[in-house]
Amino acid sequence: MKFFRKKLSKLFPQAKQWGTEQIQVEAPLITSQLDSNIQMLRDIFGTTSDLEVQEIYMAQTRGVLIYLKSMVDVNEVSNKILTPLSQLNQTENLAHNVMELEEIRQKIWSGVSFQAKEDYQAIATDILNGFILIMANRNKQAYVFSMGNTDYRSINEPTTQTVIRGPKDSFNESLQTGITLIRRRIRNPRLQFEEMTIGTESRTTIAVGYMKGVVDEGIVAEVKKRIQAVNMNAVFDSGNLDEAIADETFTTFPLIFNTERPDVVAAGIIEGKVAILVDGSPFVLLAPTVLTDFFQSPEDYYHSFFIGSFMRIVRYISFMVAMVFPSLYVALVTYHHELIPTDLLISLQAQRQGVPFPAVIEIIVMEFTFEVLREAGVRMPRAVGQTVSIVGALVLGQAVVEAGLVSNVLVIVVAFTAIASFVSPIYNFSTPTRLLRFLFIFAASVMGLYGVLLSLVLMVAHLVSLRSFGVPYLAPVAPLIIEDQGDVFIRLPNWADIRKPSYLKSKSFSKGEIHKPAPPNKGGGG
Amino acid sequence: MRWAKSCVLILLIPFLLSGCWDKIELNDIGIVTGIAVEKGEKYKYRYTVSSVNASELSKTTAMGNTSNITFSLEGNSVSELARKMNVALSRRLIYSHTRVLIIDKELAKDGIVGFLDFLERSGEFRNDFNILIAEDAKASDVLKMTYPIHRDPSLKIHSQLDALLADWGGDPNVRLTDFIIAITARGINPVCAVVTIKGDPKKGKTVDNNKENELGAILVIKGLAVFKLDKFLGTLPIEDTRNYLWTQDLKQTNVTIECGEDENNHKLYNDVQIVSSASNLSTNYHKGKADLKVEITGEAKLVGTQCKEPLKDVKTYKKYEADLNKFIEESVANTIKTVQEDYKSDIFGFGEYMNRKQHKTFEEIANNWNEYFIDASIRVDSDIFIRRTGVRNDSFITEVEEMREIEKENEKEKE
Repeated sequence: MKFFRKKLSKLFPQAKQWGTEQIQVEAPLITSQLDSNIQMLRDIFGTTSDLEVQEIYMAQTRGVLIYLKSMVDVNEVSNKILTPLSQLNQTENLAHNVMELEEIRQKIWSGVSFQAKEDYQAIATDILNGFILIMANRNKQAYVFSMGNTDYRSINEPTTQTVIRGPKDSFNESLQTGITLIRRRIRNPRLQFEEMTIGTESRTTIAVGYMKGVVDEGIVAEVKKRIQAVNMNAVFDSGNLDEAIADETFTTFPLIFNTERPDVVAAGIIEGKVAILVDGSPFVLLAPTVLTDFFQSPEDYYHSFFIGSFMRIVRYISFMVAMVFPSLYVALVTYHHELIPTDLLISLQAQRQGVPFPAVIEIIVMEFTFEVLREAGVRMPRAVGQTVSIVGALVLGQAVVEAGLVSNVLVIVVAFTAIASFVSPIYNFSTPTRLLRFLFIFAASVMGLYGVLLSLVLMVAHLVSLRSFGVPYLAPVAPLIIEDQGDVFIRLPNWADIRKPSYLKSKSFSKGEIHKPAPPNKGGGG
Repeated sequence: MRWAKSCVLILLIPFLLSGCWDKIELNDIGIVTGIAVEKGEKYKYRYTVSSVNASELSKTTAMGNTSNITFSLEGNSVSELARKMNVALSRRLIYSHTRVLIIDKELAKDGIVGFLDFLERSGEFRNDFNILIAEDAKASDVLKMTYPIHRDPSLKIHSQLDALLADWGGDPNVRLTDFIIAITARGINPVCAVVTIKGDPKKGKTVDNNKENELGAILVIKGLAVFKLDKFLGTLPIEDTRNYLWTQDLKQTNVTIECGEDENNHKLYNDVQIVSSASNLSTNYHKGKADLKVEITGEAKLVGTQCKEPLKDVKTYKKYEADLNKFIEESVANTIKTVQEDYKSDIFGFGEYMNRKQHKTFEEIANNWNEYFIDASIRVDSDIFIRRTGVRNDSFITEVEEMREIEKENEKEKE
């Protein structure tokens, strides 16, 4: 791994220099000269068309209102800032009365949240974040008012992580909405959010959320440390950040959990995980995470624990199926005929009669075709969706078999594998199966079942080596933590006293006495 | 560090250099389901394989042609012949799915160790095929008798023997390792089932055989082949197979026992199904004579009766149980005696049992065990309970008999 990294950094030596330049300001603080201040800001922002610079008079004081049209709610500016100002100008007709900026603010904008700033750098950042800036002549302080516009996609149903029963809201691209959705679920003063800015060019706001007093402080510190160390020029989605702060990037397994479901994030935070919300991304990151998290759907807890446990087992089996089923097929059909029951072998042979390719070629071609179909299905415009499904299903499914190019069983193998790979509640967990599958097929074709086993051993060795923010990726299975097993492969009912996963080292709230629901005792009355 | 890393790399290489080597595509193999070995005319052996024509066994691709192809070659070693079959057959043969091994009677009389060694040594054969002796039919013909359901004859015999063993107990359930152990171990000799063709073998060889209601030729399990070491001695009727299994491991069977006579002196019978049984051998050596004992315990249910005895009565059960046990004791003892007298070969494994239980005694007499076996006294104790009588208590025969008697009385009164 280190070897690859060294090679990569040799190939792209400029990578480290990207996005290091800062906004350069000659004089860091504003002066009492309004005009020079305005000029200073104009210098910073250049000639961008969405920069609005309005000269205003506050009573007799000359001032200026500066904001980015694109980032603020213009109606809000007019209602809360300009209207009171014009009323002031009408009533206060004392021509000689020169008011201080602070005096005016107290008089007419006392209800609007503000900050007093004098540092250009901070002011420019605030303007970029949708604040409006008001400066007055002969004042060494400027005021910024938060007037950010809230034109975001409304809160919709989740599109990638749906449930039958359970909350139907999902995050949207707004950071504030995201925080709101989490806060609504955890009305507890211990829930803390810390905002940070990353991306030297994009300056994306992100928020780190956790339960103070529950979460392991070391993890929070590590998350913040890693985020601060991120050196990227733009962050458009939590996916960018995911890669930048993960423990290991040379792995196909996701080391940071991502979800668009606020209930999952809230549950994670309560467990003692850290949520990372990125402005502009509907996917929230949760760290640390372990492999078993990707087999757990929030629905496991909303339905009876019987079906919850059953579905979990189904997911684990599906994962293995998606991973090794095609390679097992190749190994059995090309090496280990003796392991197939006689009747099945005869049936397989009858179906492969006349198929011109070796089983390996057949399966690689079909798996590749499926990947093409999947990619086309994701990328194509909605309008041509029908075409792709018809061509995919009919042409590739049926016609290929009828033409005798591919055997029937193989289509079943590929189809079952494909469906099994979608079972994980988190979409990007299908990545490892999608990629490693080809490795397994290759190993099976060269070395038979031995190859499949060898690759599985290597995969497990790799998994054991992974860490997510210091937590072993295979916890609580390896290292085996007995007391956490109640919520891994099966989900025990609530009254079985499932504690928070101990590998998160979170401080557990006392749950109080847990009652198993039961009808009242005859003696005890109701 | 660099040194350690390269060491690890070198250690990893063997993993990648090994692997399975016998790669062969499904399209290139011929699945052998049955093999037959006979005496050759010119050479020592005549070897026949039956290879499956898979597309005929699949619903969608079947065209009505033959579903298995047989071919015979002569040679002095079966192992060479097994690889030489491609002089006529188109695909590389794989033997792991062999279901039956048919040995010709004449060859078996001379001994069969010569080629059993290959079967055991090669490692390619799974230990789950049936071994059969072909009697009154050519062994190679057995592999050619078509059958409508299992269109491959070998699969038919395999499935037939399983069913026979499970329901009635007509197959000694012998596998290759059992057979070889029986040859090599002291105090036990091998057995196997005997198959024959009923009908005209020529008719059985065509697919048209399957078009008639009554097949022109059909494979029938005839009985039990008795061996001494690896030499075939003779065949016992199929009833004796069951009696043999009583001493070993009988799963289920039905026995018919006499229970009375009607007024016309026709015999009446009970049919009892043995649901579970267990047998226990014991041996005793005393003053130059071996005492052999078989204890049979088990449970049974009455599945049919022709007698009128009331089945609600415990006494009836006691009587039937006594009859049943007597019948079993007699028939098993008879079979053992026949083997003692006619074949002089301990196929039941009494000697082997003694070797395990009374090792020192057996050591002394091991070399002459056969003589002791022939002279040994036999005792069979059967203790089987009839637990239930199906979904009925008294048979309607009991009611019919009662009504008959009432009628008789009525007639007497009229007179």
